[in-house]
Amino acid sequence: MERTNAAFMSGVPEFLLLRLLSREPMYGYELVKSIRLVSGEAISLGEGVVYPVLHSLERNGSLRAKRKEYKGRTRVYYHLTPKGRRRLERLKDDWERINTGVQAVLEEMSNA
Amino acid sequence: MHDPQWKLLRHSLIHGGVPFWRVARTIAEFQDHYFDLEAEALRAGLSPDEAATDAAARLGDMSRLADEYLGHAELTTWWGKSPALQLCAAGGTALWREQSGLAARWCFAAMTAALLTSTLLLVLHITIVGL
Repeated sequence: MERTNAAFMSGVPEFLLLRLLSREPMYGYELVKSIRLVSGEAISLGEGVVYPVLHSLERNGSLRAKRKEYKGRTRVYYHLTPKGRRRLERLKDDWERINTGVQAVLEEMSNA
Repeated sequence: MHDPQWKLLRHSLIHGGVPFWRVARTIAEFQDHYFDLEAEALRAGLSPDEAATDAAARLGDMSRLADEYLGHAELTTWWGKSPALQLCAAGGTALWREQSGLAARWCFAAMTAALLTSTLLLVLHITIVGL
C-alpha cells in the first residue's frame, strides 16, 4: 500500500481520530483499521502513529481513556469528551474552509 | 520468531522524559496492538512464525516508534528524565491516594515543625546577635 503523503497529513490524524470516536469508544488497533476502511485505503496511518496523538488528546482533555482487561491484556478504550466534541467541530470547520479554498484554486487553474 | 524489542522502546521513552506510568501504559497498548496484528495475520492464513514477523514489521521499528512518541513534547516532562524524582512523586501520590487523611496530618505536622523550628532559630538569633 502506498504511504500517505506526510506533507498533507499535518493535523489529519487528530481530526480523523476525533471523528471516529464521536461515533463510539474505540481502542488503538480498531482506530487504525477503521481509518483504513472508512477512507477506502486512501489514508493509512502508521500503526504506532495513533498513540502519541491519542495521549496528547487525552492530556488536553479532548479524550478520556478507560482500561479494560481483554484476554489477560490491557486494552485502552478512548471516549470523546464534551471538550473533544467542540474541538472536532472547530477542526471540521477549518477543514471545510481549507477544502473549499483548495477546490476553488484547482477549478481556477483548470479553467485557465 | 521476530519479537518486538519492548525493552528498547521502554528505555528510549524513559530516557526521553516520558513519566514511567505513561511508559507502562504505552507499552501495554503497543503490546495489545501487536497481538491484534498477529491475530489478523493468523486469520489471513500465515503460520505463527510468519504472523509474528508480519505483526512486528507492521508495528514498526521500536526506535522509530519512540522518536514518533517523543516528537510530542507535551507527553514528556523534565522530571520524567529523573527516575529518583519520579519515584518520590509516585510514592507521594500513592500515599495521598491510599491514606489521604494520614498524608494530610503528616504534611500539617511537618509544616508545623518547620514553622516552630524557624521561630526558635529566629528567637535564638535575636537573643545572641540582637536585631
